[in-house]
Amino acid sequence: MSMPRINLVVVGHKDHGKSTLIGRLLYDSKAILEQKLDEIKAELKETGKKFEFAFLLDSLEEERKGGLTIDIMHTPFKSKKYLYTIIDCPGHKEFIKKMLTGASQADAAVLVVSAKEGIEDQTRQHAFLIKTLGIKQLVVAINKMDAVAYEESQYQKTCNELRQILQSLGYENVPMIPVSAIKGDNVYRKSEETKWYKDSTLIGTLDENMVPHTSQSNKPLRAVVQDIYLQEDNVKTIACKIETGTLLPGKNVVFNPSGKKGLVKKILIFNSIAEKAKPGDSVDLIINGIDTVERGEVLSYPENQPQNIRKFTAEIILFSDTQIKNGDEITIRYGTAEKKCKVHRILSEIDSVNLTISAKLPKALENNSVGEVELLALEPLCIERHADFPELGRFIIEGKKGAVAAGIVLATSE
Amino acid sequence: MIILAFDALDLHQVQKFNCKNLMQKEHGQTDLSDFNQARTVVLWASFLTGKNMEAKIPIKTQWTFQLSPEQTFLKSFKTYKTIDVPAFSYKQKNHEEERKLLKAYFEEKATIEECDAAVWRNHEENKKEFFSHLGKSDLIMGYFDLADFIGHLSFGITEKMAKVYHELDKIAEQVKNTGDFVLIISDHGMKALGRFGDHSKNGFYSSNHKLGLNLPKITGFYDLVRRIAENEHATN
Amino acid sequence: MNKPLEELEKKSIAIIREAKAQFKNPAVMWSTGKDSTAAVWLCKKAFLGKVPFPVIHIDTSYKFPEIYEFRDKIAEEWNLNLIVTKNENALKKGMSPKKGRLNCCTKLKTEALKNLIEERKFDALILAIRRDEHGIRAKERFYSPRDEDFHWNYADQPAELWDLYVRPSEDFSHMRVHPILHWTEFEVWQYMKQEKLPVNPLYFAKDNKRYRSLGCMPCTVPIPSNAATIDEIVEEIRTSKTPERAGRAQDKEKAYMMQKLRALGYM
Ligand SMILES: Nc1nc2c(ncn2[C@@H]2O[C@H](COP(=O)(O)OP(=O)(O)O)[C@@H](O)[C@H]2O)c(=O)[nH]1
Ligand SMILES: [Zn+2]
Repeated sequence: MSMPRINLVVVGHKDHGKSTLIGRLLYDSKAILEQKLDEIKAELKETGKKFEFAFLLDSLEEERKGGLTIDIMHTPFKSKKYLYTIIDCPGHKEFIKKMLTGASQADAAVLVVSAKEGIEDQTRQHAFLIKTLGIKQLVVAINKMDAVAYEESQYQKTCNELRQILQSLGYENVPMIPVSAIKGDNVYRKSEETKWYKDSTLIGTLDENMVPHTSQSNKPLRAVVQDIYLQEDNVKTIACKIETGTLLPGKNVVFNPSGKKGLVKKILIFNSIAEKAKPGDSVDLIINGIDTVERGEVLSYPENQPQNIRKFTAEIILFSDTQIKNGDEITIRYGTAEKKCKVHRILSEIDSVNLTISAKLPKALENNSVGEVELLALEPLCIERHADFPELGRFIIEGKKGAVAAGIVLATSE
Repeated sequence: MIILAFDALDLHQVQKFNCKNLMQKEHGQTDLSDFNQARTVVLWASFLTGKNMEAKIPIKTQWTFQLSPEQTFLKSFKTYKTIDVPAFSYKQKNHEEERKLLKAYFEEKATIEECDAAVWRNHEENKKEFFSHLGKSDLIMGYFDLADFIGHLSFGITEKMAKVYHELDKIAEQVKNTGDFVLIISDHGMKALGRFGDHSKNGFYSSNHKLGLNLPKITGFYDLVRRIAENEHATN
Repeated sequence: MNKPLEELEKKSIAIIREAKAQFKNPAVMWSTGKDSTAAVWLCKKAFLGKVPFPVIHIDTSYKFPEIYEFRDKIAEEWNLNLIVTKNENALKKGMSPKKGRLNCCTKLKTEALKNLIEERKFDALILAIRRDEHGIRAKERFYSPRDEDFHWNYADQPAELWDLYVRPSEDFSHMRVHPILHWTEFEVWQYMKQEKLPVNPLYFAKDNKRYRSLGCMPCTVPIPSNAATIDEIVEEIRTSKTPERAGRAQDKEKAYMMQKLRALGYM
């Protein structure tokens, strides 16, 4: 009875119609009360403004100032298949921290590009950040088709340009739907105006193409140690959360980076002994041969275990009020591990707007910038390539008040 | 001169409840189009100084924002008395309490009745002070936020708003025959938002002299008040 | 188990275990309402059936008798380390809703909790709030630091990426941990049903009325409803016009007004 969920992030250049599109989705899916609509319409009439779907968000959103939506918002709406939760992305670079907080929870992204204005700075930048965060499912809404007379040539032109950019970021075969958020064409309702377009509407495309966060149970096993518990009978259990793969009792396992080995005697879950544990499960383990391990260790089968990493290359995104220099000592957090590292070299600063390298070997990276860095482990750690194990290939850099940067591991060396 | 400063007194409401005393000889709407937001302190500060003060008053510290007499038209009067005027002699404690209650109401920690009671109490206090000083200085300016506060919580409830407007009309009635120049002015108007009320740009002014104004800006009264002040000096 | 609920539960349990691992002295808040009962249950499930930290119930002494009965019964059945806290001082001085609801709540709830945190040195509180409750909650994070005055600086919160919940090294007095932030009201009820969790009888309709939230007697009003079982409540919520924020029209209007007042600096 509960519907599977898809967390959607909506990104795109300012004024290309993100809020309008979200408003349209909420409206057409009837996630918004009729009564609320009337109220907003009445209010707008009084102030002499015409009704826009973006105002639906205004009324729910606390701080829309100067047209900027500055915090994430979760408003669920339903299709036939899914319960979608929308994360509206802020359109201003100052708000990268908040945007990433939202986008890091997303399963899929909708990139809104206006056919009228064409590709602009934040179109490229947001596509880049989405890619950097590792969001693989992407759908493009070519918006404002009404403003270009529903011309197929305009749609094609924008698509072609965009396809090149997306390909350079590694996105292939991204569905691109010609829509008018204002009029509702091809959002929920198949448009009469775009007879040349044969594929599904936006919501249809989302339903067909998106898959909810999928369980990675067929991958090699990885689990992170959360804690050690002392049970009532004085037995110590190792509290683990499975990230990928399947953990079975009776198997040999190894913890890294310590290298401790043992045999899984029991997998305890609430009220019973489990026959297996799957990704996402939090379990308590009794392991023959191991009494205790540290929080942060990674559990795997000996056949395929994470390596002790000495040095790794990562793409990092800095939040406001931070700076990172060559030689800095930092603490990173991946999985449940907190480890000291040194900034060995900053390889490049990336211009996330033009998708070019803006500086090679800069001495420092600052606020809201993106760059590639080489980090040196100051203590044993076994982070992985994001391409292999996203769950253990992403990290944050810790500051005094919390995360100050997010990173994705590109390459590792032992 | 007498200035009755009524927060959120709304042109349409004055007409709806047919408040003849509030309308005086000439009445109309003020033009607030120069302001992005209809913020109370900003608008009163702009009224007092004749300048658009929006950029100068950050929202965070607005309630404690304070003008000196030199910055305002008050300097043109030999003697003046202000009661609870925002940006000048605002009664911090009373208004803090009101805002606290407002917040508490939305957090379901206070009832509407508690909120209303506090505002009426503060209103009575201001009224008493106002009438005890009436006629004792060249200018008396009294500020009353009844229409604003009650409006925010109950604008959609006609009986309540009728009571508020009737009360304000009665105050206007009591200054009618003093022989003084009487200016009644609001910072902004109010519009319905379900049962609640939100600031609108539908501000109100009226005067017991024919001024021939058409959509005056709220900053435009500065010169008018100063001219009246100078005339009073001349006749004194 | 219902797949979406299973995913929600997994995430909640992982968060609760993170909190236990990262903080010295956590506790979970329990009003006996549906959300916090689900949260306490999740704490039980996270630790093989035994909640390993205190369960705090703030007693204003103005609660419904049903709340006390329910609380004591479940606390015993679930073997909870229950801490009931009261602001005895304020009560002795005659604090009651008659002295104003705001005043009463501050004294009997907020202050009672502040005192308890100070006395017992709790550094993390697990709370059962949900994003879909009202506007501002949409901005909440799973980990949300508070200062001594319980102040929440929502405009400048630390970023929260993926499932990497961070305990800041400074700048907070205690952490609020929100393990069911991502659930909807509907899902909570479904979960209650699936797990056969005890439900405070006040939620069920009597004389065509039932309570949606449980507070102090003088300050809580029931809503019109005929739902007398969990199934009927689930159905009531499912078929109401707005699927996820059922019956909250009034709340939305309120939330909208609050935004407006905040924008004007009133709050
Ligand atoms: N003609 C046309 N205008 C649109 C459409 N969608 C949005 N707009 C307009 O584009 C402007 C910016 O929209 P908004 O949703 O605020 O953009 P955001 O900054 O990306 O959230 C508004 O004036 C909208 O009315 C559309 O489909 N057609
Ligand atoms: Zn106001």
